[in-house]
Amino acid sequence: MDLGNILPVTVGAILLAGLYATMSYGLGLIYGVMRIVNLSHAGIMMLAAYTTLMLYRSFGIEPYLAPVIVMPLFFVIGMGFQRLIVRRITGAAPIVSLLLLFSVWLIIQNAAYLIWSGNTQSILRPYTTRSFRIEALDLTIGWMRLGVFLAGVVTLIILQFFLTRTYLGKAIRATTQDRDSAKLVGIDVDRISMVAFGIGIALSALAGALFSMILPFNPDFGRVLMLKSFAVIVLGGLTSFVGIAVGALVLALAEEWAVGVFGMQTALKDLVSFSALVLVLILLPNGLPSLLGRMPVWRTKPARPTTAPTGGKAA
Amino acid sequence: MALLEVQGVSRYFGGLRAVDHVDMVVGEGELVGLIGPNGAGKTTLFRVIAGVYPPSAGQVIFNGESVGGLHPNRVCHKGITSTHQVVRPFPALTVLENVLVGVQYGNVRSGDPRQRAREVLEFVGLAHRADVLARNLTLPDRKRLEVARALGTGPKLLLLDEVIAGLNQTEAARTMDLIRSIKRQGVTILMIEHNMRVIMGLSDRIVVLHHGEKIADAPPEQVSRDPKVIEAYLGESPVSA
Repeated sequence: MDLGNILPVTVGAILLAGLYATMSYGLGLIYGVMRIVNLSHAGIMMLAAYTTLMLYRSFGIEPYLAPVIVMPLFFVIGMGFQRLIVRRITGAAPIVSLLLLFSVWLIIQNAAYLIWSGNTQSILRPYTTRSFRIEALDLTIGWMRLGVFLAGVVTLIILQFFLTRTYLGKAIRATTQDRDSAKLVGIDVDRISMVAFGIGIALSALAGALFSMILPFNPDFGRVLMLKSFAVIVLGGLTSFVGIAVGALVLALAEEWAVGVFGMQTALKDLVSFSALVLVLILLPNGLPSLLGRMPVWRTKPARPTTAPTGGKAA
Repeated sequence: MALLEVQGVSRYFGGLRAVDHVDMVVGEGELVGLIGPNGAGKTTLFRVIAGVYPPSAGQVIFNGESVGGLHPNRVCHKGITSTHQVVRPFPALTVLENVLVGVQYGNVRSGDPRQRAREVLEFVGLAHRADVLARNLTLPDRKRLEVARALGTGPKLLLLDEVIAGLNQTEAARTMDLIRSIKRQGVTILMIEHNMRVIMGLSDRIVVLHHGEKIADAPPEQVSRDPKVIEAYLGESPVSA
């Protein structure tokens, strides 16, 4: 145990959590609306990383500006992909969509090998390696890490606002909660699915574009990250973006503390996340939010609060 | 004038004729009851009208326009909405948001949606629960919400599937009053209900289905005396010598 490290390790974990959350929102949204696990997520992130690289090499567009182009581009690609292919398998057995999207990932991956070869790429700009120090706390923080973290927070705020305050957001939530009822109140669930898939892919692409500035990548990029995204959305309870953000934080803290505080070998870091995934699936199949429901404090006095925070008539 | 015309509608599931060549008409402003023993095809007919299932044969004409086979959301935009037999509000939306979704995506496209949703809640008597999550409502309140959400879409024709079943006497009476006041607002209603007292008391006319076929279509007092209807409900009557 090395408690002296606890502050820098925790700060590092929080920054990492921003990144984990950003890469999981898209997966969570698509699962919520369509009950489909997007196994092409890794491929999309990889493709977005290469797009960012190409935008810089061919057009001189600074990588930190790339999301402005990458996100709308992948939004359109995602919608088209849903419309032409994914829509045809709505309502089929889950294995069908898993296999379909897994194949799509393999196709994207192999196409990338053809186009860009298997060489590992990285984007190096003056700002990608720069960091700053907080002497008082003995902390060194990379600007890019901080930037990616902030992007994750801003994305969460925008998504939360979008889902609760806009017509389209409400329709997405309604469709997530009950597809049949949504149809009966006039929501075009096919269109909602298409838009949600587009947004989900755009979010995966955002994650890919951000990653390209802090991690090296090749066509196989994203494999482990995608698996971690699964751990994050399962931890988060598959229901809300706030849940996903909390799941990301828990996962990042577990990983970083295991290595930085409890002295586990760095190579075993992934063991922590995947053990967490397995444990959560067995012990808390509804994710961390179900812990709240299990707290005895919330159970002892159900008399009124079970129904109405605003009062109302007694049951 | 006929608002809804069901012309020779059939709906098969494999070899099962759930609805078999049914003709019926619902006039503007009318309240028509749809009854029949379990498995008679009532809910299936509702789903065909609402667009959940396309008809296997026949036509559904609404307002002079064929709507058979349109998707439910398109049918909703034309002005037909239905409630679920088993209540299914959006559990993690508030009561107000549930209605708001209906208002925003339904048939009404004028005025302030929030205002309109509040009016609907006031009308069905759920205004005091506006900010509660739907999953926390009691069953009677959930049934009201189901009706409120449907009303929010601004229907010309409202299909009510057993909104009274399962309620106690007091709640049932309240809901009957609610249905009467919906009718007074000019909404045409087609409703399924098992409780005879309720359906006799509310309906202008009653249509009876049995094994997917229509066996009676008449005012309540006449239907209750119809030998074919009595037979369908009680089994073949012993031959009186």
